[in-house]
Amino acid sequence: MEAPFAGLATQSLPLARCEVKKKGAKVCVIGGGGTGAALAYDLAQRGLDVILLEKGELTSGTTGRHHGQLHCGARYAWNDKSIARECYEESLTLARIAGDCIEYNGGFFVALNDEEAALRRKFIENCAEAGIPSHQMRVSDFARLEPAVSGAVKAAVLVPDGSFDAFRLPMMFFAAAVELGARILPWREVVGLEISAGRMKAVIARNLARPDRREERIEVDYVVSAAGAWAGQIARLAGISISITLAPGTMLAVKGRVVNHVISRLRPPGDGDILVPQRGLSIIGSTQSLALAGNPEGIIPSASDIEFLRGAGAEMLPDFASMPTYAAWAAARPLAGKDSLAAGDVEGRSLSRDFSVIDHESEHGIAGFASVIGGKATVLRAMAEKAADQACAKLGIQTECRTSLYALPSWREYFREAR
Amino acid sequence: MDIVIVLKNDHSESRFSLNLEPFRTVLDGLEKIRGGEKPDLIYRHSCHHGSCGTCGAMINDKPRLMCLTKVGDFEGEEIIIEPLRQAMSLEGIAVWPGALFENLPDTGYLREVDDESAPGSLQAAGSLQASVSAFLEIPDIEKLPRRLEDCIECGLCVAACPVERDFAGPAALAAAEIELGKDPSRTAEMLAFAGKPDGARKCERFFGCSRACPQGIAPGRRISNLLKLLR
Repeated sequence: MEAPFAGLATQSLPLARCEVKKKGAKVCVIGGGGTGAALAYDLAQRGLDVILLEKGELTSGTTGRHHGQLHCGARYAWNDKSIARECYEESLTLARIAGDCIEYNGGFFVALNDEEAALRRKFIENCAEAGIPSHQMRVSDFARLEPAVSGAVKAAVLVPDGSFDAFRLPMMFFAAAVELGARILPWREVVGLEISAGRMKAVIARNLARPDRREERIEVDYVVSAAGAWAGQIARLAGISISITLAPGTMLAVKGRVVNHVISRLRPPGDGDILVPQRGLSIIGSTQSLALAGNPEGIIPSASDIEFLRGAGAEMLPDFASMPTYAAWAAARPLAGKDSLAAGDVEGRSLSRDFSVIDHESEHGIAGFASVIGGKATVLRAMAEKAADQACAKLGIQTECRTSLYALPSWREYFREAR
Repeated sequence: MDIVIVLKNDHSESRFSLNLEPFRTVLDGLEKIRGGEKPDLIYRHSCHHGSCGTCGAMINDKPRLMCLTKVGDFEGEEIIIEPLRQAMSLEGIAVWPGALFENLPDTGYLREVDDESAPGSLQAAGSLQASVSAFLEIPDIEKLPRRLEDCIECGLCVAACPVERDFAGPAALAAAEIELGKDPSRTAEMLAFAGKPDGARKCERFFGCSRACPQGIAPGRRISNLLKLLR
């Protein structure tokens, strides 16, 4: 088993030592969230000429609103060992390359009743099968480590979870992309895709940072849509439909660090079962429901979701009930697929948390176009690797991914260098 | 409640009327406007919970984070939002925060959880914490648990500062003061930074920075401390 976190920061190379050989092909990435950030960096590192278009501020869609749990994968090991394994591998990679924005404190899965306690053995087996280390701790010891957690705890299992800054992590990828020559353009709304003879030719973008909202035409060899919850809208610009489900989630933060480790309920994933300490806040997440309208804009949390999360928080932390809400917010979680939705599933939990890269040449007859959909923040680098592998293969460029080797620069460098 | 949001900069002004519960935030209001009446409205935002530091703006003349400002605080008043002071204005209320980051010295981003913010007593849990460290295979147990530094680099302190020119600003100086407290080996370097012509001596002791800081960092007090150390 790979050693978690041990000396990880010393195991990466400085980005200044990364040689880039220019390949000449021009790729446009649509969407400035975590996936787009990692993809712009990956492609620039492989020597492609990269331009990224984001209609708002970078990370203003779903990415920035993440509660910040660095998933070791234990949460997903109930249903899908390969996703769990990938989470663990990626969390270790992020620890190596982006340590400055991560709190590596570990996490506990806690059983609060007999039913959950009975799942303990299965949970530990799941982790072992997925290659994730876990360690059962005496309940009295756990209570000394996390005295604010409910006295009803019947079992506590330690796993290598952590938390990260949901803004700074992707911004570190953007800083790296800019350092390697990628052009990152926020406030550019893609309003058209020019396709001729079955091939992507150009992207039309409106510059929202100009009073005249001028449109620009950008000629490209390849387009990857990493627009997340907006990927369906981008695909429609090319006249095609992709299978994506919006499952908005609400999160709630209280002021104060009530716990120091991530605390999760020891049971298969559900609503309001994760408590993430991050900087000076404690965040409970999340709820999940299916958005009927399918519009990712203007999502704000419902009063009933807020009420539910306050109650769910108090189950884990009795003091939570008396702590005022610091912030409550919602994000449009984009899940891949909808055809696989189980009958009667109104939350979308039967949909996979996996990601996929759709090649629109083989699926829809449009060469030079792909969409990355689904996935989770922790695996942003892996999503980018798969999408960049496919783009390079389609462009006939021989390269390999090196994003796991180099330490990312600080997010501060993005704001120092991007203009 | 019925609210009026006015978005204003040097060249333009636009007004929006909407109905929101008092606990909703100014940012929720902008999201509703962008989701309906004005889809091409631009403003900086990301986390929506006071963690990323992007959504600072002047709200009724005070620098505040839009995501933590409740509309219910403006009963009977219009909510007037303008670009954050001392940042480069782009379009509408959106700004480019580059100057803030150029002024910041290179400082550490993580620190140990200290006793005042830690639940329970970390000392009491010392040997247990060591077993968590051993599990995570982190050799240096003193480093656990760690947390991100409080400063979210939002620039509200800079926007509240009356010194407009040739000044590194409260965010940068507070960062230097925190760094030398955390890592004494960098004291000389941080004092050299604070002692430069655009450093701590430019402070006019208005303390607007400390009042504006959403994280309670008190940059004004930290600058006073730097001045003491520089004497």
